[in-house]
Amino acid sequence: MGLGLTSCDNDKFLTVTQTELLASSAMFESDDNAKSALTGCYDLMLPSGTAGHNGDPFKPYVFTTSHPTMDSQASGWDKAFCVQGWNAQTTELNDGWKHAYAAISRCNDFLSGLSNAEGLSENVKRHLEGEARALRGYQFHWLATTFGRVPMLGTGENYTTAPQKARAETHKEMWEFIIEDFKAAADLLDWQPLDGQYGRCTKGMALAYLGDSYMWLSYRTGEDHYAEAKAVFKQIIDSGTYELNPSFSTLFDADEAWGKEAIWQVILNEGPNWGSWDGSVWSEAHGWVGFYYGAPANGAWGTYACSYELYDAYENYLNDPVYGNAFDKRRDASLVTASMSEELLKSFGKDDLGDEIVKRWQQRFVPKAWVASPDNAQYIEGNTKKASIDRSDEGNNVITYNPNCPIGFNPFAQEWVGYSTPHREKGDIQPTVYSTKHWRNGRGTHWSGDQWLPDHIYMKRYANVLLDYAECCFRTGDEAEGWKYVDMIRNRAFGNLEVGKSAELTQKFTGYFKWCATYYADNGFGKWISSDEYPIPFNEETVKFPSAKEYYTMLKEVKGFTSEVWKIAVNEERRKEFNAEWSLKTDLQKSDYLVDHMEHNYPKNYPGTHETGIEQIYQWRTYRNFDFDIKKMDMPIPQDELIKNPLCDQNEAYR
Amino acid sequence: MWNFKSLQKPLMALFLLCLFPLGAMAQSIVKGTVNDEAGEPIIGATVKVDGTKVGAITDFNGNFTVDASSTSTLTISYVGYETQKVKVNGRSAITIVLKEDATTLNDVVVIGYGTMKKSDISGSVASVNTEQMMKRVPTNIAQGLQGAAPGVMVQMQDGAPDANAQVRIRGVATINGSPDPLYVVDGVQVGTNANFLNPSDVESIEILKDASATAIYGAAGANGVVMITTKHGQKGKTNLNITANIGLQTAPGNLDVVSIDEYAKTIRTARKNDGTAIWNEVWSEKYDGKRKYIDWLDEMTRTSLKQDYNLSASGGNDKTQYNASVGFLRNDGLVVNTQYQRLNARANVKTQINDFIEFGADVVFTHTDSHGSNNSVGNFGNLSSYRDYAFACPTMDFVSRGDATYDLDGVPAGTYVSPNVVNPDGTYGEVLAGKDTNDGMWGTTLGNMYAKQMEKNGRSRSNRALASAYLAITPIKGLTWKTLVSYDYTGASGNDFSGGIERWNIVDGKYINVTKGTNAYVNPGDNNAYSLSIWNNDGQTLDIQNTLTYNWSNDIHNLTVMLGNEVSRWYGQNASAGAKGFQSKDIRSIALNTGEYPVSAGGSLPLESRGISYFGRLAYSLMNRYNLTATIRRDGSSNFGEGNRWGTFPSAAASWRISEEPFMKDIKGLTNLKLRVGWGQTGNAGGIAGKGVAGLLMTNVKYSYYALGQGMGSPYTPGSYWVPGFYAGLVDTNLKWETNEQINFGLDLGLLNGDLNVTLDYFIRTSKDLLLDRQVRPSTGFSSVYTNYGEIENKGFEFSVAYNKQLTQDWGINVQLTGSTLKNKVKKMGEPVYYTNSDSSGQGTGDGSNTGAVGAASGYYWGNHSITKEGEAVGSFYGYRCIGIYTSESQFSEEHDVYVYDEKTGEQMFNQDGTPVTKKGLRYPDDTAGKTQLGDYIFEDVNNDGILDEKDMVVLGNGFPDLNFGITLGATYKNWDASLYMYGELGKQIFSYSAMRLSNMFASDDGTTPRILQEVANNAWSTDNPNAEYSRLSIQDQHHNMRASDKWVKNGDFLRIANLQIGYTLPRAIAQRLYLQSARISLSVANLATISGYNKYGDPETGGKILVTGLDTGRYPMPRTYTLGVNVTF
Repeated sequence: MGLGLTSCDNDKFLTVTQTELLASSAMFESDDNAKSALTGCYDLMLPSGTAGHNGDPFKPYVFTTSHPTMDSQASGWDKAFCVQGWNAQTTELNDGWKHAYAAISRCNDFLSGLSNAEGLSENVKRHLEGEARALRGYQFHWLATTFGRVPMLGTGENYTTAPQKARAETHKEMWEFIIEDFKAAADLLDWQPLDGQYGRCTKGMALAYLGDSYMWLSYRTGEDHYAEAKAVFKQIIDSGTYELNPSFSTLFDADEAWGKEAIWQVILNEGPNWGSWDGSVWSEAHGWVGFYYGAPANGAWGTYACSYELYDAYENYLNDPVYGNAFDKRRDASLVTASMSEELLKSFGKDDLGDEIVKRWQQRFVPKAWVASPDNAQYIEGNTKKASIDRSDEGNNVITYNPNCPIGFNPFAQEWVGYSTPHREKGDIQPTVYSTKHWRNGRGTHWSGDQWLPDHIYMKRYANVLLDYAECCFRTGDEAEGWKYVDMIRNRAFGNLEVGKSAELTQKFTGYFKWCATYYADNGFGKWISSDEYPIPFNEETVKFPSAKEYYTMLKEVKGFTSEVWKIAVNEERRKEFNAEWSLKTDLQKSDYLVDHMEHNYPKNYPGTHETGIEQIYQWRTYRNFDFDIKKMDMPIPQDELIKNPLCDQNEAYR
Repeated sequence: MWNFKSLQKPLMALFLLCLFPLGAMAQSIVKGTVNDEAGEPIIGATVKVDGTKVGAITDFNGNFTVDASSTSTLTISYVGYETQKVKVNGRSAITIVLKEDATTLNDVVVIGYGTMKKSDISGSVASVNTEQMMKRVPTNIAQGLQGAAPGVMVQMQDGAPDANAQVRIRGVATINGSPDPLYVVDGVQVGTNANFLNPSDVESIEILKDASATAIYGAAGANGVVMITTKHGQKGKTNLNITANIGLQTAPGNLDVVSIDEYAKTIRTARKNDGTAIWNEVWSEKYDGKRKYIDWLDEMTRTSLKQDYNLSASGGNDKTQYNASVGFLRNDGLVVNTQYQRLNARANVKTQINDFIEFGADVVFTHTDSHGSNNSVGNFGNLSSYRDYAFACPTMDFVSRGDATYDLDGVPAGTYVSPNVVNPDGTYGEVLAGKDTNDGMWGTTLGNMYAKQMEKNGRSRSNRALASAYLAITPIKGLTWKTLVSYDYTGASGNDFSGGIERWNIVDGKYINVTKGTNAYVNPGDNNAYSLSIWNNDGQTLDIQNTLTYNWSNDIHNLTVMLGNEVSRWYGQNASAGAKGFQSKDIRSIALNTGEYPVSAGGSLPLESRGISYFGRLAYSLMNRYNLTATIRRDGSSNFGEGNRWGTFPSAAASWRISEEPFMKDIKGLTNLKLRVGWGQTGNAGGIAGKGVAGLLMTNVKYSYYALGQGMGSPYTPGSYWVPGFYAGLVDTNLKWETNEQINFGLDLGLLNGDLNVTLDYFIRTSKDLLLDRQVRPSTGFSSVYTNYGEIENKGFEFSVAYNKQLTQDWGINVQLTGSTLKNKVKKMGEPVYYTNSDSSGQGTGDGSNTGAVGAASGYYWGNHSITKEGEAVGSFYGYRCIGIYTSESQFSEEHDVYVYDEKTGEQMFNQDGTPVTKKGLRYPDDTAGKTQLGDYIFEDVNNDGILDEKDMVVLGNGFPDLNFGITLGATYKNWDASLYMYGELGKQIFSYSAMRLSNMFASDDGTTPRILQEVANNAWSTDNPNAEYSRLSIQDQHHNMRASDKWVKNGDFLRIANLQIGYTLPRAIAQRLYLQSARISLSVANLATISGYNKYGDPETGGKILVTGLDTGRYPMPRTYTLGVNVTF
């Protein structure tokens, strides 16, 4: 009996049905399963950490792609990213490193299985391979642009096959690996995403990064690959797939996801789960975004403030004899400063261009409906702000509306921006300029559970491609074509693409703001007023503005840049176009403009500025007291990696 | 006519029958009595006439009658006694006194898949004296093993009525696996806990300790094996045995904490030290002597009853034997409203079908029911902790502050409110719970803890049924085929109902409901809705084992070969559901909820577990002197990935019975001298199910896809764009068992003609390929992989000394001393494993024990208080070194900058440029308020970087005692017997969270300002007491004097007088008149005393999971139990 009972097939007997996880074999059982598996790779485009999908999601990217330029600045511990104070133990670097490699690992597992998968339809298999390679390429692109040389892990490489792994020996080897991925992806993918699902990698995305990678390869190796890059960008332009959004202002609104300008982006939109702080959803990340970008005085944290140098970089022509009233609308569409008294602004005198700050910095809109509301009367009457440091944030709740100096109002979130000085002194010194690209949809004071902050996080817009293309044109001797594309960007910046589309745009993009008026409470910063008008008026008439060549030739002279004019033009446009986006630092670096930028936009020990004390708070310029070291732009390999991967060595600047 | 031939055979038979007595006449009838050394008759002894088939069995009085010639020799034998030969020498009446076989060398002991003569055993096997064990009236088997065998460390987890005990055989050799031994009951593996058995049903217990003995259990044998044989019927007369033990349990005494007025004084002092005012007027001096004192230990405990009844019947004839029993235990806990009940039923039968077929069957059923304790509670809401009672605010009085947020409706400011624990009408009073957690006031978790305990009505129930049957066939002499089939069912269920809480305080004679109204401060709103939760789970194990055993022996050789195979399968399911919001406190149906709240449900069919094993053993004995045993087992398990399902576990052992050598025969008094050496490998796979199986992970994996230009939609036009996904996790598909390798050297010694027996063992146990979450390079995309890595070593020395002597006809004594030493060390680990004793919520233990919580790391600075790293013991204590107390500012180190605070305002000071004002000193970055003061502890800046942070944490010790021991002293005088059982630990350290909580006034884990020890209050630092032992009194404790440090590592040496018993056995003559075979009555006291310097903080016997070995967080008090026992056999 015993023999009979135990004479079964041992291995068959020991193989049990997995009831608490999906068998590995399911990954490629069908087209749908394979798509789900690839969604597992996309999943890591979103925040993920020890607290599930909450935690502190975007700091690695926000910090590495912006703060080192000083166009954005932070307080507290985060300030280290503005002053080259990061090191191998910096948490955010470690987090970003792990997150990128987690995504790469998923892609590698996916690609490894896909190559042997049978039974998938050819079209799906082709697309999925292309998307996985594009995703892997994207993650390596971030690693390479952030850390320099890193361990490159190809399909089939994992913990078992490679317990330790050295970095790529040369930049060339590394970038060719990345280029290979994007090339393959571009060949495999279509211009339109699989199943019409925007959010997936497309040919356009792969080509945009392919061209970008050629530029990086050139920057890193000194080899000239700009012609290849230019051809790739031209292919995108000629495809007709992408267009510049008519209005720069609406690029960041909730009422349009994956507009025609979007090439590669992450949309943070928890949908019905908004307001939940559950680790299984991403709504907490909505809250984080609000905390990062909102004004601390309004309930946010001060992770991300923009500099006054950036605020001052935008062109504003007021009653100009040549250009009349013409404004670079990107400033008011993306930045808001703290409320400041007219006296204070006057005390700043003139900027580098010789314009009076008090005039240059005026917001070019008036919140008519908001001001007219009796509910907001308390904020615009009867209180005189102290012209001294006010240590109490609460003291900023009542603000005098000064029509001569109407800055300090976020037109999208309809909030007064607290504080009354250029720098917030609580904690560490930090400028009081905030990005409304991301502080647009919610209110910091609602952080505890009812925040809905859908957010566009652009990695590649058509505008990136146009400026990259322009740079390649300049570098390949096609100067006229280069200026043409720079001016294309400027034309949109000055609002000329909005002309004639005001009604259409207003109709499309005001719905969300009306809804907000039904939801958000006052919370001490003003009642949200429902309005039929878009927060910032659209241009009704075409305006004139100087050509890029003209303007940046002048700017080079005024500020003393050492770079060629085209490089100044392309990169200064990038600063104004991509502030608070994830391409800023990398684009400036690959163009070899970072040093010039730091030396002339943030000169060390700028005369008349103060490093400490009350004076520092009452100046609008950043006091830079450290030598900018371009080598440090290759961030240190995280110590955790060095400890656990003895084959991996450290970057030169941190040895 | 009758046919003579047809009668021929019967007539011949009759003739022969008639001749038989004639032949017998040549014999003589010999009568006799067989007694033991104490003069008591031995029942059932065998008396054989040598050279014949004649024999007899002694009767009830030890008498026998045989026909034997006057020159014949009688051989008298009985199990446990030395066989004796007596010449008749013409006597007709003989009295024979059998001596107990003290050496019991010929005892047959149970080993894996068979039995073996003890004299032939080469491994380390300890037999538990079950008679002694039962004198201690253990609640369960684990308790019964305490101190019973060397190398077996048993620590009580607490004193709860259903308390388990932690059993560790030869230390801890795992981190993530199970450290618990395997229990085998009547040949059936029942897992790592056999507490479902009624201890009184146990016939014998053998503990297989070294790998040469346990390797036959392969992957399950790493932590030792406890072999339990239950009582079976014997040939002979039917017996009916009844035992009853009735015990009274009392609390062992309180801790020496401050009095109520002293408590108020400590609050005033601490507030003064902190620079803040007392929060409630009730603590001012004017109320000294007026506050209502509540002795919470007295309120929360009671004198409780422990009842244990057992009834068993057994008997049988030559062919068939049976045994059946029922038992009932009810243990009313020492803490009010705690209880544990257990009902056991058991039956077995064995029958010899014919000369070569034997059949047997066993059935055990156990039902348990408990409530009030161990209900998933730690000190957060745990009302069963000794420490909680001691340090809780000793009054509920408060003075109404005239603050609407804090006070009762309609009670004017300044009113003195003095809540009762229980009001005259039976309702409960309440402190200002949840509204004011300052100064002795109470948090939401405790409140009137007596009321909370009395309102507990959740129950946990379990059922266990173990049924087995075997068929043994012996086709030829020495060859036996045995098939054993078993079915093991475990089921557990539970429920809890809460809500509808009401509390009333009496003010000026009026009852005020403090759970209703605008200022309700107890369970307001949703928290007070009726809520029901129900859960259950079950698991079933089917197992079949087949063994083929062949034995061949002659006078020189004895060879036994066993081959076997075992197949097992476990499956189960679990479900839970809960709902909130019912119309009545009596409703227990989820379907009848009001719909106001969502219904929760969960459940699963967990991963099945299957195993196949092949094993064999060869045992050879040459001339009864040289013994060799070798085993091998090959285990296959579904719990592992396909890459490593199979493991092989070999062992070998040899022994030399030197005492049997001719040259030793002349050594007087030496009855046994045996040297043993053994080696073997075993496995440990605890908790590994499914972790080696690659699969796709789905939790929280998704991404959003859109149409071109689509709006984000929600919330004002809700829509979802999320698509679920999955990915492959990092799984080591080559995951395998942890491998334990053990070498054992042993010596058995019998001296003084067998009166003194000594066993010595030395072992080295090395656990390799530990199951660890090993850190991997981050560029793998993962932070860790569950894999085999690391090594732990345990070394130890064990001894057992037993002296057993019948001094005179009336007097006998016995003494047994067992002990073991242990050194535990991590040899290879990689990254250290840190651990904090908290569950996922940061509260409670999460280990199911009642050991209380350490608390959230951020709140109490006890994060990572346990570390497992190379060169140190598993779960070593980890914290800061306290090197003194700041007694003058000059002690602030000159090496570092510290922030400066305004002496008057307490605010941090800044220079004109906004930078902080600093002075030289050590910086405490977690000291956010920066108020390090004189009287605070100085912690060592170990790395001397000027910052006191986690980099300065060091190993402070570990919880493994140098020696644990047990002492049994016994004496008999005529019909009286007495025994004293003690056990203890020496060289033990305790990381005492309890000591910290009883020494520090930081608002406790439930908001109460602790009632500290009087000793601490007397020795707290102040300007008047600059040489104090303890830091200044502080409620805010902004310096975190409470942090995990060596200040709280205490000496935990103890000697517990565990049991003192006096028994009286009724003389046989009297018993017989009462129609009894025997009767015994006993009186015992359990937990009579504990001698330890640690008593001032609690009980030094600390048990818990691996990584908190030696941690004391306050536990259910251990009761002192007075038991009256009666045992009668009909």
